[in-house]
Amino acid sequence: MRDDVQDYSFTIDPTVDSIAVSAWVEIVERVARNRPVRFDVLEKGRFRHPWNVALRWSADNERWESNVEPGFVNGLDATIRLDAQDAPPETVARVQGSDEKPPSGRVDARLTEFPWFPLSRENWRTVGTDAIGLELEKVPDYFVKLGVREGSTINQSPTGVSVSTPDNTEGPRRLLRAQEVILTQDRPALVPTIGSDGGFATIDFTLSPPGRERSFVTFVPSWEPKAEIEGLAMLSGATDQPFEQLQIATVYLLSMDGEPDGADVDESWTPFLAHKVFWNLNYENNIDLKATPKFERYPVPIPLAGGVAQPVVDALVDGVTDAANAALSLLNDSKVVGKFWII
Amino acid sequence: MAIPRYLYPNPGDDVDEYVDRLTAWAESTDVVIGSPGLELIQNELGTAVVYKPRNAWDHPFRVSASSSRVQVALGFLNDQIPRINGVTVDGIDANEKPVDVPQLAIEPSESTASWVCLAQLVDDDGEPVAPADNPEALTIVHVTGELDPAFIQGGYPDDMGIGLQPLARLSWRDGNLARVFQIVYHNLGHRFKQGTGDRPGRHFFFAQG
Repeated sequence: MRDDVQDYSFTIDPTVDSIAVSAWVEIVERVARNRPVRFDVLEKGRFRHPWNVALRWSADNERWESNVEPGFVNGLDATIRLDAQDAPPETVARVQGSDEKPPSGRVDARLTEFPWFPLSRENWRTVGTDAIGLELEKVPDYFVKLGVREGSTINQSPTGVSVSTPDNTEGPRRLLRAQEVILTQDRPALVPTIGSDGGFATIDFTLSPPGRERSFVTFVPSWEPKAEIEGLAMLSGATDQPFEQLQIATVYLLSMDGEPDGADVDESWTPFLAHKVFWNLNYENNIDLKATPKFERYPVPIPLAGGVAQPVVDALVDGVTDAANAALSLLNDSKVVGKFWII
Repeated sequence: MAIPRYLYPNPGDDVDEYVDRLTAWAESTDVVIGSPGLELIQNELGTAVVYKPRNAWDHPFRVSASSSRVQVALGFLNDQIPRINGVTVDGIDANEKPVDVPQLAIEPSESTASWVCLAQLVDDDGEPVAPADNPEALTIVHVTGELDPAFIQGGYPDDMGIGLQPLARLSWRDGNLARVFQIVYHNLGHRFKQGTGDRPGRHFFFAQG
């Protein structure tokens, strides 16, 4: 017991089956006076919206680390996968008692366990100043005002290759690095394949279950919304990526003035954040997992020439028959689409 | 804080019964914090009321809780106010009279998480039932165990006409409330999608206004 806590303990003799009411009342009032209620004022407390990203430099590990304020999708807190050695003790204890064990010694920490995620040095992309490329990412105006310059553009022509660097010798010259924070929700994928039945084509749908149940956060060098895939393209081999994603934020590190080109990030760099999502989310896709059969077959009355799928695809592309149009409609209607919205 | 009358025995009463009452009372915490910026946190070290001055945002459906009770700030679902024990969460009873703000009695969760949820009842046509017609049509409930696993891929699966929307996740440690994670910050709308065949209907909740 701490020295500053007075011991109010008392004992009741188990051999005595009565107690004076006055003594009892004293016990009750003593308990009432010492009920464990305490008031603290956290002057540094501030509201962090869901998905709010924080960065810190870890001197022990000599790396930048990030923490994401717990965000929820359909009532469940998202996770982030990291090495077990970097996971909070709460995560390790939970995982040890369950079958949630991803391979390679990595664990899925829930954001409500407040993990600090190490940001890989390799994931920092170069923006502006020391960037070189055919098509350069525009430097946000905010960072231009802080001394980040446009990068160098590679020009290709029949006479050769040249590099043009903007003439910006005056003023500060700072480097900029960035990573994207992405929220992913795995979902089922409905994969159509062409089969045959009695000389006619069939379209077989196979439902693949989602990978991870909960949504998860990743840090990646760059990100683009995935392209929508038409059902017909899937018949031709295109793969439906079985997830939906949202860009949560962009994290930036800004160097001091005068850092050499290509410099690694360290504790002298300053973090900046650009958030895109501020609220918890609900999500849905257009497949009812509880009831959708895992395998369904739809006959498509298109003659199957020699068991080769391409003629069927060609017929669908041409769309010249009612059967082809119906099959095309079926394919497009069968697309799995998911969406997020704020709650 | 007033001491409950039930802790005061009369001469001749059974001591054991009163020891049990006192123990239960001492282990509970009557303070439920509902004011903006105040949170009640309980863990193995004890109980703390924490004031976060810059977190003083009295948003709709703000959940405050202790290990034994839950209180929810005023919020609207389809312009209706949910009820606890027949009283709106802002403290208006069935006779339109102001009463104490209601608190939902809860049991500590044996797992590490539970959820405080809105529960909306719909009729056979999928239309939300108004609380004026049925006091149990729009209520606050405490869900221990797990949310319906099918929820993560879509709207909340219908169960006897009822759909849930988690308002907050309660974190538990050794039977004590450790933390409240707020999920909903807005007034909400609700739509119901009828099921087909064996497929259950789905309840969709979304931020509104």
